[in-house]
Amino acid sequence: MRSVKRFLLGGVVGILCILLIGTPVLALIGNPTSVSIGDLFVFRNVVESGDQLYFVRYSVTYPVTPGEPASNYFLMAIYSTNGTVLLHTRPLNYYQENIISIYLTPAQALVWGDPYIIKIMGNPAIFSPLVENTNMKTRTLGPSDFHEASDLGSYMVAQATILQTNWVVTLLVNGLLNATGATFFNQAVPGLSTMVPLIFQTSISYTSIPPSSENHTYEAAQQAKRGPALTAALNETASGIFGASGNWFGVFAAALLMGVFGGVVFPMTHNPGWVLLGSGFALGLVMWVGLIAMSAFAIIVAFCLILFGIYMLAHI
Amino acid sequence: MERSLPSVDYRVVQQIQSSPQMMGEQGSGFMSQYGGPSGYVELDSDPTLGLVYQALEQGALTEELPVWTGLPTKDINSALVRLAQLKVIEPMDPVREVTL
Repeated sequence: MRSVKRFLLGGVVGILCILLIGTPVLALIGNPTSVSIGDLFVFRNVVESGDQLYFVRYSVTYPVTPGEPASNYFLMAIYSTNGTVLLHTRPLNYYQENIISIYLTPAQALVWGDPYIIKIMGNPAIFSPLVENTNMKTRTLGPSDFHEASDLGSYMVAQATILQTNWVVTLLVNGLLNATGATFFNQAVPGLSTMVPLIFQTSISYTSIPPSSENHTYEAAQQAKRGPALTAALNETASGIFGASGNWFGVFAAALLMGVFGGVVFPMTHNPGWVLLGSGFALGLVMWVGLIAMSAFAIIVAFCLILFGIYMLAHI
Repeated sequence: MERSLPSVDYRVVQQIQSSPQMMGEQGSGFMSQYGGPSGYVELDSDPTLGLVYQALEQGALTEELPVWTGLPTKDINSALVRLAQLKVIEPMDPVREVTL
């Protein structure tokens, strides 16, 4: 019995140790001197049809900026219209005056135009209780807060103008976000350079190339006639023109070529040896273009050489 | 009139200064504005430093500053020394005591 108790006690202590090790301990920080929402906008169809972007310019003011990361202590939250259901959250990137947003895909998108409740609030695990205007600021969306994607660029530039005045940091050059402005706005609104590339001094966009709809039948037909297919094409031509097979056409062509060669060379040389030699080359040409087979060429050449040999022996 | 530093999380300043591209755009004016990340943190964390720095930037660092702000002259002068140590400003003469 005693050993069972020890076993159970050991198990409980072990579980507690694991929980204590696994739970991050956040340092306590005091309430901000003020928390406010400067501007609040909702845009739709910013990347694809049906999506939504909830944008907030907030201020979580501390006289001395806490050393702890703001993402552990404050967040932006979207609540249901009656304020009872927490729908979406995203941690803040910075204290003091800054910007943040929540992007909802078409599947996540809320009812357009409904009075959802937006909060900039402390982490409930740290700030308890959460008190309005102390560590939390609440705004209810109104009809004037909803905008189309075409307004997004001009609204972001207007926000950058406000921030660069208040921060005393240059964010805009010639009305476009410079590298500094682009960094902070892309942090607050991931993908902003894709949504409105024209408000950035430099941005990268990818052109879409539609897949080819050509059927390539002409190329395929030409490819079928390349190389070894030449014989087939010649066969087709020969049978089409002469009504004979390619083989017979080859024989006729070879005989014609040899006859012409012999008719030209023999009167000049009076030596049938040159005719036989030249005929061998003519036959080689005929074989090379594919009109006769190499085996046929070899037999004919051998025959020509034998005749040539007999002739030479007879005249030496 | 109460003066304060721009309401900027100093991480913003650090991020700008750690990026050559962003620093290239902000130029030397930015450095003198904040005196580097460590300078900004010091200014951000010490209200007297921040106030004296702002007064200097606004051309309001005169013998009357203790009168307007209620800060003792010696605190203002020690703030000037600290700002110079941080290289936020060039070393300068202390503010003289005003006898009313």
